[in-house]
Amino acid sequence: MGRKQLDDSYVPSTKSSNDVEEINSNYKEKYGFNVPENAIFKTKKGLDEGVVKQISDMKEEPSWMRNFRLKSLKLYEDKPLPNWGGNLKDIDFDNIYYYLKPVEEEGKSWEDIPKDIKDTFERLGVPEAERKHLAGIKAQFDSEVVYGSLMKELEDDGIIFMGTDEALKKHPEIFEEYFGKVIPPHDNKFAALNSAVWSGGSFVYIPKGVKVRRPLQAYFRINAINMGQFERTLIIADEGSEAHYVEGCTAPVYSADSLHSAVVEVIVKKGARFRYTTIQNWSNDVYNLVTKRARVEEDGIMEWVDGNLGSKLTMKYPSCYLVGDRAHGEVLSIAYAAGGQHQDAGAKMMHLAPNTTSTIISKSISLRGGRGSYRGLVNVTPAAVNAKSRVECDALILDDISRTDTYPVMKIDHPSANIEHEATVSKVGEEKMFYLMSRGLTEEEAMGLIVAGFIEPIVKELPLEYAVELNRLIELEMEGSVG
Amino acid sequence: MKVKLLSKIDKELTLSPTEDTQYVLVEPGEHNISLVLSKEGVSIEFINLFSLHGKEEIMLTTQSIHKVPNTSCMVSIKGVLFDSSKSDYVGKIIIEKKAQQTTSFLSDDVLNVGDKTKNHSQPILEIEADDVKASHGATTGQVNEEQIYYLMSRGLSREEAEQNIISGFFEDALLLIKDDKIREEVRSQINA
Repeated sequence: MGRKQLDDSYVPSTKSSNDVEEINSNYKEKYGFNVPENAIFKTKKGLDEGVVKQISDMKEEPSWMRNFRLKSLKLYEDKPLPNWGGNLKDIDFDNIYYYLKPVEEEGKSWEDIPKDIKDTFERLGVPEAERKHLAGIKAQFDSEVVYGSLMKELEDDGIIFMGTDEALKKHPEIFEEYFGKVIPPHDNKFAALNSAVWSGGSFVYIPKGVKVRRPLQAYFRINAINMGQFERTLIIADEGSEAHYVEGCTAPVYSADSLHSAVVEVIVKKGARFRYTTIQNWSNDVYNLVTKRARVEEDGIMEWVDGNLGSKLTMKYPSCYLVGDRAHGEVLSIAYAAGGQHQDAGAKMMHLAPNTTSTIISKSISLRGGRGSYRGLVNVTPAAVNAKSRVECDALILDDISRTDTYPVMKIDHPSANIEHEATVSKVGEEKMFYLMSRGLTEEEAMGLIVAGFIEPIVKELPLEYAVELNRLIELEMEGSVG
Repeated sequence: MKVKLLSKIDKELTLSPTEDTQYVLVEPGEHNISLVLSKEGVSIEFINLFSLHGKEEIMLTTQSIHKVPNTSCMVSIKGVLFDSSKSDYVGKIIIEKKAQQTTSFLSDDVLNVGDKTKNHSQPILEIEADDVKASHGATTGQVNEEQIYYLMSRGLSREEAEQNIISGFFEDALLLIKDDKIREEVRSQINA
């Protein structure tokens, strides 16, 4: 670690506080605020066939999509809640709004969208990031994408970056070919739910051989109380293309539960490379139950960088289906579980073709009564000759009221596989603390520095502004966690 | 440390020793073994070696359960799969809230020699205490071709080279056995 990096972002704040409440109020101020709800249209609370039909009517979609939704609703109703992972029994599914339309249509300039919504994204720093770093952006507010932009030259290269609803209208042929193919509605209960009520999300198409240098970004914001957000993202990286997509998520702090249940499908074609980065910082009353999966073809590379900081319960296991020769999948996962939070995160690697390789690196931190669980699968099928996989899970547990678990499954059904799995759990080493404190750092600063070092292998993979943000967030969360 | 060779054991077995004990298992089959640490200061070591041929299968579950402070547990599994044999292993480490100052390790290494072998492994950690050192490692691999090449260049046949490498693979675990007589017994059994 260079001296400069230390100066810039790794030195933890010296502001000290032992007041847990203060940490929450800081989230509230920075992300947890809300603006008055000004919905143009909102379905009634709860979910039934009528609600699904209403959503479909509002969107004026083709009949195949309407049927897809209705079929998915049946699947959702028939499937039981998962009996593993976190506690889902307290979710009151009847007390949630499944669709809320905030604006008439997506704005192409920030001036086009209502002031409250614009102010929200201003406060979250979205337009500023757009000007400085991004190739294109989608901002979703409750159920719909309210703002979108894409750099002119990218549009000229044939890149498509639009709201998923808009893509269904403008590119029905690509849409029908890929939609719901990587994650079919019957995959799991929450994929079925999303398939029934999906709204918003991003559609990305990167043409053959096109390499996008700057990230494309989506920002997901829940504003309304008792809201369910069900965005649906479909990404196609055509042969030999390269791109990076980043998403961030926040919500107001209410004392009522919200539900976020997205489906993200990525298709990485021959020789393409795609990276999908998530910084999830939902407020602590959001259930975050997301299905993310990539299909990776010959020589393709898929990388998931998955940061879970917020939410009440997250259950999310980004996966790669390595279907082509030499396809490579990678998941870098970081979970931060503080009081009242359960991060049940991990990864799945399905080796379905010869010479496929995968890597999973997971780091979790549990403190103040939080629970961090790693759940993962490495499956080498009989078709996957000479597969290689390496899994590394490290957990830090900072006090005696917190909990950490590791639940990996390795199903190795071809003898040529080389598989390594390693997991460690530890507290912050006393010698390390002693050393840093003997150099003049306070206990809190020393702890902050050790935690920063622990997550560094993942943080360094983030775009700079996110790395700084993540460090700052963790530093903020760490305040008052010692002593 | 007391050393016990487990033989003709029940499918379900709970071991809760009151002094430091090493258990060695070489019988294949279906076993669910709980290693319960309920007395302070006690250490358990559990060593399992297996070598499966034909369509033989092993289904083993071990649970290292730490109930009180200041205990340690080490589980070492080493297996070689020939032909179309299969190993299915679940290795759990559970450290309860009270069980501070715990050390618990688990390793599960399987060598595939056959061409239709299957290896399923689930090393699980559930940890509710913070002053602990716990880790697991699991590997699935093959006999290293470079090692075979080296040994063959020294005049060994391919079979001899392979046999040597397999013996070496088991040797790491055999050397952990603290009773000479039991070690020799296990060595002859596993290399038979």
